[in-house]
Amino acid sequence: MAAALAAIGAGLAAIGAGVGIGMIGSKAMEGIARQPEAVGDIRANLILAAALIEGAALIGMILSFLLGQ
Amino acid sequence: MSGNISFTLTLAAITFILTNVFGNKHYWGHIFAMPGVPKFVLLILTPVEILGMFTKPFSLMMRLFGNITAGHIVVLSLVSLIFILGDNGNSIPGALVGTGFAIPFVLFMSALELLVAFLQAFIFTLLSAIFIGMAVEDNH
Repeated sequence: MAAALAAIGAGLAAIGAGVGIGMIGSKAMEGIARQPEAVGDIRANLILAAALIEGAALIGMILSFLLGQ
Repeated sequence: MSGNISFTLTLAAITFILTNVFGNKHYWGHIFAMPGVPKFVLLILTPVEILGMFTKPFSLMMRLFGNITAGHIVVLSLVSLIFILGDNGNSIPGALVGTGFAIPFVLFMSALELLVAFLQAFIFTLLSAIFIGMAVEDNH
């Protein structure tokens, strides 16, 4: 029972990461389309924000892995 | 090594000790008595600030540990697929199919894990530099 709920929790964390990185990726694409010469700056900030969002989602996954035993 | 939580705990503890040893009066002032708030708000705000002092290095530790461990778990799952399809040494064709299927995925996931590890180490160092810089700045 605890393992099933832990698996559902990890899946929800993955959905959260997907939604967050998708939103920031779409805004980055719009920014590049609007001003193509700022590609370098936008790419650096995109990678930074994606790593921070990924950190939060993976904290949730590791917690669900530890508490589901 | 980063797959062990004690290692990232030590790194985050070093960041925590450095921010609190080298923090100047503005840093401690911002934690305990923020300028411009009435007294009853300060009663609620001080525990939140003290908790925030601990959660920042904690999130650094968990972020690095979680990324490295997730990469390790995926690589372990793909390699154990070889043993599952080979029926623990009982069926040689199954093991060969498993190897042919799993080895390219393991190579790809190892490359991805290397990229993620590089990025997360950079994020850890950048956030540590930001926290230490916020603790030692003079003006506002």
